[in-house]
Amino acid sequence: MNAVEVRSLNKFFKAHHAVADVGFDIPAGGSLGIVGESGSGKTTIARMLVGLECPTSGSIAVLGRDRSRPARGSTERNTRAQELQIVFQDPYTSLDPQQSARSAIDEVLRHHGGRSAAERAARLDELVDQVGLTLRQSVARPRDLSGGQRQRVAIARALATGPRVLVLDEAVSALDVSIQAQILNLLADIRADTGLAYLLISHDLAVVRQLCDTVLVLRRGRVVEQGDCGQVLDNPAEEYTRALRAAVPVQGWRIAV
Amino acid sequence: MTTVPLLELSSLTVDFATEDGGSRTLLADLDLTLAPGEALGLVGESGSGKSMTVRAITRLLPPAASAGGAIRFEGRDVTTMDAAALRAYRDGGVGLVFQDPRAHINPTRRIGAFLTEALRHNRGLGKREALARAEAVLAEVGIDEPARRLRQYPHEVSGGMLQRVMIASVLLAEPRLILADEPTTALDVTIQREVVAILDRMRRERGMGMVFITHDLDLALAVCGRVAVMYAGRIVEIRSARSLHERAAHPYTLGLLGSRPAIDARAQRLTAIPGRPVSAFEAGGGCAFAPRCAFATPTCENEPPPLVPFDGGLVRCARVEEIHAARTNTWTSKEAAE
Ligand SMILES: Nc1ncnc2c1ncn2[C@@H]1O[C@H](COP(=O)(O)OP(=O)(O)OP(=O)(O)O)[C@@H](O)[C@H]1O
Ligand SMILES: Nc1ncnc2c1ncn2[C@@H]1O[C@H](COP(=O)(O)OP(=O)(O)O)[C@@H](O)[C@H]1O
Ligand code: SF4
Ligand SMILES: [Mg+2]
Ligand SMILES: [Mg+2]
Repeated sequence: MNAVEVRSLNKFFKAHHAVADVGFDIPAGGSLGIVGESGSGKTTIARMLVGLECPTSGSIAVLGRDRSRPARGSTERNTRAQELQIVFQDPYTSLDPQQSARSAIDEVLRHHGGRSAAERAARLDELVDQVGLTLRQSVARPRDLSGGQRQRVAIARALATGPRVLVLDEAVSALDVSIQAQILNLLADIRADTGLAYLLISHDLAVVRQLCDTVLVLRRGRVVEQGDCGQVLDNPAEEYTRALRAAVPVQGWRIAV
Repeated sequence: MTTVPLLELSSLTVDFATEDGGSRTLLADLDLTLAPGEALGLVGESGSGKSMTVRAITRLLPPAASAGGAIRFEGRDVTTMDAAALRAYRDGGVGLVFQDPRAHINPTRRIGAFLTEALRHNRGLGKREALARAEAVLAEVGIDEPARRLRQYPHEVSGGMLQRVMIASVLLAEPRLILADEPTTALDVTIQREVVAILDRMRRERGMGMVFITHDLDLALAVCGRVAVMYAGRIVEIRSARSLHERAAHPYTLGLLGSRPAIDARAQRLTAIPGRPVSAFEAGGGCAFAPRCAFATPTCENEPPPLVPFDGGLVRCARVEEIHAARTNTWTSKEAAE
């Protein structure tokens, strides 16, 4: 069964067609990258998957369960949160400034529970360890952490529900290069260890290549091209994808246009 | 005969006075020379001091910060310029392009008013002539319907377009030096390419020098002839862009190169640098990179290494010869094994 199945997805904001007839699959444990220019509809797709935005039409299924309509009641909401989680670009805005990493993660564990206090504590240690936070960092408040450390906290908290799908919306974009590499390695390890599926939204084609099996190129809400990541990036079929590819600075880049 | 450098920084330092009466070093031992018409890249992670360098060059440091050492523009000492000389220097000598154009433009005034202000004030041009000049330069930076744009407000145009307006405003002042501080970081890649191409073309056509600041090493290599890598308020390596990929010698530069995923192949694993980048005042007494460096020895932690010539560039690493020899050896043995 696919982790995510999206069919004929549309979203209108008033007359503005922000997402137009988008469809894709992410197999269990797979990793899809969505690339496209600013305003192309990437975040809107992510928000519909999480349930922060309601599709105008089309269907979204995660682990075979439809979620194109708002959840009916807290049980369904909880199930959805257990299945799919999201990490945003700037964890600063999504983390409670008063809360240490440990208490933020513990809160999620308690909410999605069924664990005894001892089990919870063990799982908490495991998560903190998995994302590479030190003990000191795990008890610090967000403002005393660096951007990379905050992003580790956000990832640990997202993993706490035990999701099968993780949506990463520009989650590594604002990080320093050396920190971005650490987080990319961490995300690759987590996927290898847990079989989690990723939906990675990024404007950085190299980041997508590093982390994704398949890629979808979006422009003005429409799918320009989608397929195997290496195939699409090395042999783009569409002019727009070629332009995106050619805009990546590499050695010997000809900047004359 | 040697020509006078366009810009010369020698032993530039910037210190910041803290509220408790102490002082924090933000930049140290910065030596840099830029020839007329040359493009130099300044690359580093956040807090390495890139923007502080620009602020020191333009004497736009925050009030609590003070600069030491020498800054010379076309041979003239910038640090001792009087108000009139400083105004002339900022109006016509250097032009600044920032990361976020919206933060540097008055949102309540039309683009035309913004672009012609300096022309009318400093050059005494009439309104009609100034507008004609502005329109011509907008066309030069690839903006279509320039006459219509002059009547628009900043919020009516996209970020990429506004950055071109900023570049146009700099070009109108006809500076000899452009300081571009992350000018494309906020833009889409395709727009970045266009904006960078415009900067590059204008620089060549007008023989302007450029200091191009970015955290993206690959972008700097594509745009500049020479690249300086900064870490914790110091230059740790400087060499020609052409030689940097193959001949990077400083462990930090090597780390940066290994950290970036490649567009044409997936790496098994990125060779991430452990820890996080630090600012100058957070660094210990020795090599600032030592806590993250795989080659660090106790000596590294105690003795600050000088910036010394190595393999056609300048490198600030006490062990550069050994590290280079070890790397070259592994290559040779790899080749032998194949
Ligand atoms: N709540 C909203 N109301 C009205 N329009 C919206 C809303 N959210 C998004 N849009 C519009 O929908 C389009 C897609 O926006 P979206 O945020 O999905 O883009 P994106 O691809 O994530 O861009 P970026 O790369 O800048 O993050 C844009 O034109 C945006 O202005
Ligand atoms: N207005 C300021 N007041 C005090 N310190 C500052 C100010 N701006 C930057 N700094 C400090 O100066 C150092 C260099 O910063 P900056 O030049 O902005 O780095 P970069 O542009 O390379 O990211 C950092 O330690 C930063 O925290
Ligand atoms: S001086 Fe020592 S710690 Fe610093 S970069 Fe060289 S080897 Fe590493
Ligand atoms: Mg977005
Ligand atoms: Mg800066």
